[in-house]
Amino acid sequence: MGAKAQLRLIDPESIRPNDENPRIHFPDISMEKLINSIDEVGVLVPVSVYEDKKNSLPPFVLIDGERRWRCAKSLGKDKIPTIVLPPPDSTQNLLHMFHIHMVREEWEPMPTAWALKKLIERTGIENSTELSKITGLSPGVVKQLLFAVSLPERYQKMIDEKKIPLNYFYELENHFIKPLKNYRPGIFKLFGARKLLASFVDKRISGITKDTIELRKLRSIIDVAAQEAGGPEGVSDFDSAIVNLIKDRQRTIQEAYEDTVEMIVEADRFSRQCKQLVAKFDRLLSKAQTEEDRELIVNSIRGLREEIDDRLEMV
Amino acid sequence: MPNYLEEESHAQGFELSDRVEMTKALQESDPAWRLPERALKLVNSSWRPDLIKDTGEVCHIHTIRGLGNAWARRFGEAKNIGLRVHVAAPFELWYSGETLVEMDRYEIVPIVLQQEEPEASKTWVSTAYTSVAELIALKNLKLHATEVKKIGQRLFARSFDSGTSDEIGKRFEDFLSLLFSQVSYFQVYKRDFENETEEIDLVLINHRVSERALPNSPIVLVSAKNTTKSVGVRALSTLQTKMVNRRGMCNLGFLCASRNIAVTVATQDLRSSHEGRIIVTLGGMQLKHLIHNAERLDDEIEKLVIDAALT
Repeated sequence: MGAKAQLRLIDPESIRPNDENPRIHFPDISMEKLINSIDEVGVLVPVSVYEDKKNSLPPFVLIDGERRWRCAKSLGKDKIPTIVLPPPDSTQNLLHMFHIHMVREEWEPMPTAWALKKLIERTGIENSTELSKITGLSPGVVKQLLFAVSLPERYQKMIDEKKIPLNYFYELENHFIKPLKNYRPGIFKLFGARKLLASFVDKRISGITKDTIELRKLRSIIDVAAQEAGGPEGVSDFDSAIVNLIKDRQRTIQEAYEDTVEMIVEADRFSRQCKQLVAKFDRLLSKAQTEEDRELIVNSIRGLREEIDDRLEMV
Repeated sequence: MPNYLEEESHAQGFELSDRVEMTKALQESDPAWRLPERALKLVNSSWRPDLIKDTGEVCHIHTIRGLGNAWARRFGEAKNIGLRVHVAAPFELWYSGETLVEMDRYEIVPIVLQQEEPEASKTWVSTAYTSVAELIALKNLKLHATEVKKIGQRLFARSFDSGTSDEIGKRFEDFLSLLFSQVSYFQVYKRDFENETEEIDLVLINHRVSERALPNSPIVLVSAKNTTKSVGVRALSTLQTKMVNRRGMCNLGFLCASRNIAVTVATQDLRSSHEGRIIVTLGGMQLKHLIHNAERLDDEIEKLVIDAALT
């Protein structure tokens, strides 16, 4: 505890929540466990507050311990152990929230993203490395959260309400929208980012696209189309398939993938695997120390060759 | 540190924002509910309920399965000091027999919360019931026999508690609502049905299944008499009249007494046996027997109807 911190017993009615706390989701299942625990043994870990007298509002503002405070209040506790800290300035207050909560459970993405946005507005710091340093969030997470707040508000709400996870939007951005803009700009201009996003949000909401990983197939379609077209400005036979996928609500990514590039991608993958097999054969052979080991490896590849020869005869 | 992109997120039940919306819905449906200013002092604990009325009623919003010790204790203490406890919970949570048994223990007043359009908004609609038994009956909730016994035995015992005639009448009706709601071929249609000239305690729909020996009677009427005196001929006649007035849809009735049925009732019933209507008379001992053997309720009721027809 700092020199000016005081440990006191305070009436929970004298405490109010901190507007800067990004953790605005408190699942009732976990709250219920805490309620039963506090009812049995009381509040064992003090909550942290600072004093801020404002009109008729409760005079103390929470820094840490909102769940404990809410549970104690519901249970009608008349006093709870409290650490009273000096009042922070508004930016420090927000930073406290990040640092105190970083050592505990996860925050929900959107409340954290909104808090980060507030911090950027207050400090003027936009660089993700700097933000990472002052908040304690990793640079990767900072990037993800900045992306989240760049989405239209209705999508942010969907993420916050757990209708669509943040990673769906992120994968869509990285495996479809950006590649489409770079490598099939004609299609991108035809729809614009907003309509592209809306199309795939619709597919997700209506259950046409269930799996976020599936979005990665979109990148394969775009890459092959661009290759076939000879560049971003060229025309590919697969462009119409991409356009149909965007326009047709019911069309799945898997259907588009199968109709276009699946064979090419799989054949390419197979070709690489064949080369890897040959390389592996060479490696194993070079490592073989006994005649028995060599024979085992050679026989395996001979057996494979026979089977392949049989199939080639049938083709 | 969480990487929010690693996993799909899933809804995890209810949380604070849901409770805020539920609170609003309750206050909108009954403006007498208000937020408490302070915690209430009970016997050995304190409690700050979600809502309170000036009439000494309190409301707890419950959003998880089961009832934890913290709330059970408070409900018990509140009941002991005369506070009427309402519990508002989303409909799916009322589907638990265990929850219903616990809630009935404290004689809580259930409020069912349902969302109007789950996808569009978080708007909740509340429907209040007078008791757990009424909720079970009108929502056609089927319980396990052990749960029926627990609640039923409690309700029957409560029928003998003191109170106004309305209160004691209502308690007995709660018991009968529970009893008849657990018969698989009956469905409680209405409690306390009233028209301009009649009041009927309990109206059942008879979903007679072909292998059951029951009369052709789509509507079944139940008359509840919670009196210290034996129930006599007048009650029988009244029930008969009500059955006649149902335009041919009612040939089966139950005359139920928390204590005794007078012997003269049987004689009077015999006099009208040619009219094709069956009235099963059930006194306190028989009702206790039925609830004690809740696992055989369908068979026992059928047997009583057949016996009444043969008499």
